[in-house]
Amino acid sequence: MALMSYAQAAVAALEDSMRADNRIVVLGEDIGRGGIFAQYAGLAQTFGCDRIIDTPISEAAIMGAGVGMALAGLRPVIELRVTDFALCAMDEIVNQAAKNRYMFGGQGTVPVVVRMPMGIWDASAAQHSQSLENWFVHLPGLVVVAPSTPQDNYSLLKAALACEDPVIFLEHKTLWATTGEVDPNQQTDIGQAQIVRQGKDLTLVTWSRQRHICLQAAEMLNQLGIDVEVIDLRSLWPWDKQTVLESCRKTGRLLVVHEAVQVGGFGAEIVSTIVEQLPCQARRLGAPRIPVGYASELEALARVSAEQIVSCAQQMLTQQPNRAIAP
Amino acid sequence: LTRDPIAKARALYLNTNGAQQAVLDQIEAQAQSEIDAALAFADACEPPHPDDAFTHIQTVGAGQWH
Repeated sequence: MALMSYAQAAVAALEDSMRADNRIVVLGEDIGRGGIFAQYAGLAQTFGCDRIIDTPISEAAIMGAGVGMALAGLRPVIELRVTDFALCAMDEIVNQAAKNRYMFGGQGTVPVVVRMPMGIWDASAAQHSQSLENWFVHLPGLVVVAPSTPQDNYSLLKAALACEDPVIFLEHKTLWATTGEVDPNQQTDIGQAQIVRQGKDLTLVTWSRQRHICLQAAEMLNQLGIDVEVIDLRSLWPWDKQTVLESCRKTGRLLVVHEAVQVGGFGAEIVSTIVEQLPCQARRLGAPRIPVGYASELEALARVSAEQIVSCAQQMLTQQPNRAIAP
Repeated sequence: LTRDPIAKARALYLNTNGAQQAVLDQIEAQAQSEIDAALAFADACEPPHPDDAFTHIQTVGAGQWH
């Protein structure tokens, strides 16, 4: 066990995997100097510029090169700086990486890990703050992972590097400095949720940074006599339906919380899936459908706070159980 | 088809590179033969089984269509 930051855990996972498998190479902007969040710190010195490849500023070219390298037998890690910039590489992700296996009857595989830091970072404004995980969950052929702790960043990055599918790896920009104990021997399978707090009154399902906000909300609700179970999905596709179903069977109430815009968000998918199978009171809580503002007052309006979660949960607890309520 | 790049390339090769008409005809005939064979193979195949729609999509999460 070692105390690491979320960024250091990513470096350690990549370093361990690169030592074990020389097919792993990394491509991206600024990675030669350690990445803009230090998530590649020291790797260029350790592995050299043949395996840590600094690229020009062209996300489409980086992603296209990575897909080609994967088809030729390498296992590239593609760094796209932020999710927002990944939009410049969508054709390569959606039409090439995600479709290759299917269109060539399993003969072509694209084992790439596409790292795209997500979410609101202080004063990063509308073009550097988005949470677009639902775009990728929507696409057959992609695996989508969103770790929220140093341990999960370590274990899930290693799992992603061993995966035979293209993996969209979403690290939250405000979590880089978060510290925690990391056990390098701890394995986490993609698609395995974690119950991070046991409770009996309400199931809170979340991922990424909102895990930490939900835990704050759970403590606030506990003070009000409401016992909340918190589940961190960790993987969004595949997602751990069984763990969520079992929890909702126990509590009879489900609240899905995500930082992404609520309209068309992945929370709606989870709510639908559960209420189609169980009598369960269910709601989702995401951001309003607004761009993230630069001014702190506007930025705050795009966040989902612990207070909002508490308010939503309290509303649900005043309703009769096993009955859907209007949003 | 006056701007057809294949026709323009053919003319370029004939006019500037000294390519022989017969060689270009042979290349074209070979390509056409490959296309004809691929079409004949496709026509002779059974339509795909519906299960094929759910095969070779991804390894992690395979079987989770909804």
